[in-house]
Amino acid sequence: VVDFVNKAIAVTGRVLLGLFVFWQVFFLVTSSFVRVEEPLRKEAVNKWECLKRWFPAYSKGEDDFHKQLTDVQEKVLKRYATGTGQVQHWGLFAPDIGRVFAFPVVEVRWDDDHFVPGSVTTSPRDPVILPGYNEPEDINAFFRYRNFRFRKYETNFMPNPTHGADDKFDPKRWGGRISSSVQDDGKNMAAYLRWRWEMYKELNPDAPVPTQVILHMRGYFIPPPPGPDPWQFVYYGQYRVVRWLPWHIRQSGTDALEQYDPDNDRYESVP
Amino acid sequence: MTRVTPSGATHVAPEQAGKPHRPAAPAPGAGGVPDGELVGVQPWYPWPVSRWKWLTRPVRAERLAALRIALAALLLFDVLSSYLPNAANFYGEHSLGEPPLYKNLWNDEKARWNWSLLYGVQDHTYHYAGMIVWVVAISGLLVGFFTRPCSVAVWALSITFANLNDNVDNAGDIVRGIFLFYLMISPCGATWSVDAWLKKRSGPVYISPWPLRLILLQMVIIYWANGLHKVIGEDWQTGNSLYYVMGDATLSRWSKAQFSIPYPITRLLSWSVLVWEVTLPALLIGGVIVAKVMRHFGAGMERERWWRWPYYAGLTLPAIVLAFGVMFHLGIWVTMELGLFAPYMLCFYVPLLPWERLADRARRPAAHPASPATT
Repeated sequence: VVDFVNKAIAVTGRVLLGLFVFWQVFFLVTSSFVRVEEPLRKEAVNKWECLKRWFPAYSKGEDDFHKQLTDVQEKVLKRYATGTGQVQHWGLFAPDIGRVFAFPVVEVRWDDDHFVPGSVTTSPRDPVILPGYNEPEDINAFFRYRNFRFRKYETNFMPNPTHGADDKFDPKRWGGRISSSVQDDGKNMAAYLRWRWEMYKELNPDAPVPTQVILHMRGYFIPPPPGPDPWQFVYYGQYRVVRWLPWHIRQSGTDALEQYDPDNDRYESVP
Repeated sequence: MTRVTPSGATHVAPEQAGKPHRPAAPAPGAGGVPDGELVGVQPWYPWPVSRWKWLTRPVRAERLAALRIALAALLLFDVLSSYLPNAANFYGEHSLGEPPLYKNLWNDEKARWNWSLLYGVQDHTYHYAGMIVWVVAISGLLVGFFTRPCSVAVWALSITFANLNDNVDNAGDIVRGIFLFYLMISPCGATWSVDAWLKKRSGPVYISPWPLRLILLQMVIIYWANGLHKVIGEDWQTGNSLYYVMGDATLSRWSKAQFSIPYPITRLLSWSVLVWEVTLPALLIGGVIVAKVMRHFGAGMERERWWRWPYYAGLTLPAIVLAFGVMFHLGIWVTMELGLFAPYMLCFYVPLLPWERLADRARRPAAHPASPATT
């Protein structure tokens, strides 16, 4: 009996392992297919209009095949991928690359700039500028070899500058860019500003609580290839994004965050 | 336990008789050590997959062991240099990864299977404790001591921290998690490990090839999916992509104003990367098929020139294609600061190298006198 049970366990183990191998192949191929099929289909439909006429449902992704595929992806593959740590989102520097980039700059202030006079407790201290962790001292000469995780965090929440067809900074669209960024990443901005202030406070224990900690965007544009000779970046300047109010009673999420309205030169509470 | 004899036949121990599938025998070892031990569960496949030698013929365990050692060494460096010193900055109370910031990772219906052993924990003591356990487990994985429990702990803690703050991780960390998943469920400590030493394994060790094949499939899918995303991008079609990537001073290792790679070169590189990624599966499979077909139909024609060229071209094409991949990642590593993305990706190439030759070379002088082949 013991021999039979051992054999049964061994056989079951081998069958299960074989099934697992088949499952992994299915998971890898299907997950990647789903991710790649949609952009390729949309691109093909844009290029060849006739596809819309010939395959109306398929070209929109509304046919039964797509519905079932989406169902499997959402209900099974995604959950399995997140549960086992095998998320299949592959697209390094694809499909297109940005023309602009930005570094965060943190400004700690103790005055009542952009406040109703007398509404906050001020201190007679000069503003302090804290450059982003990832920003080199000289944009034209640096060698970077560390702090990539801080860089990753900063670039995740940092809105890139808006630029127009003339490749210059577009101030008209900047307000909209701030709103959408705060909507998506406002909580991370607040956490970052608070964290930067606390790091500063650790080094300067005598510093009183500031009236505001402002996040600025320092933006650059990469000139079109082959670029100027000698090669150089186009500096867009420094623009306000949000401010965090350390004295605010409620500090959860974006409660203590105010986004900048560049059209009216004022801060507004985050909706 | 299964023994592989010099004739190539597989000796199955009595306790394994009656199993649904008996793996095909491995080829004699590259170092001329034909006897060996087969470690780990051999998966059962239905016909015709069970006849596919690529998926069924056991391979030397050194290939998986090399991956285990390379990955564990990298991860140990990663944890000691970037995670552990910043544990209080990345996780927990008043950090960049305060639990409420990442509620979406847990509340999203689609990501319902997200999990973390430290979910919702604010106290940094637990994060530091987790990091220390992580370091100990990685060290165990590195030397192959209690390999299985260590690999499970390393994988679990890797996911635990990744799901606490996903804004400090990149694609390299996802690749790392995938490797750890495979190491956890495969016999990665079968050789080159303290466990193997304690079990007194002296001869060649073989494992079923499934983990290596799935890892290879994962690698091909990563590149192909990347290539297909790129092929619709205007920047890649015009060859401008690497010009802009290297011009992004948030990522680049040095300033483009300081040292700018000439535009025609970046253009050529952009196109070559695009073509390589899109055609990778075809080139790998094509090379193997050409070599196999030439070998199958060209028996006795080895001296004919018309036969030799396509045969050797087919044989070397996959190696050339993969060498391009290594150069590609080394290029990324040199020009961009993406953390350990490039080294983690290079781990895909580690099991493709013939590590067994090292083991055989080390074993040969001592093993020869007693080797069954010479007695």
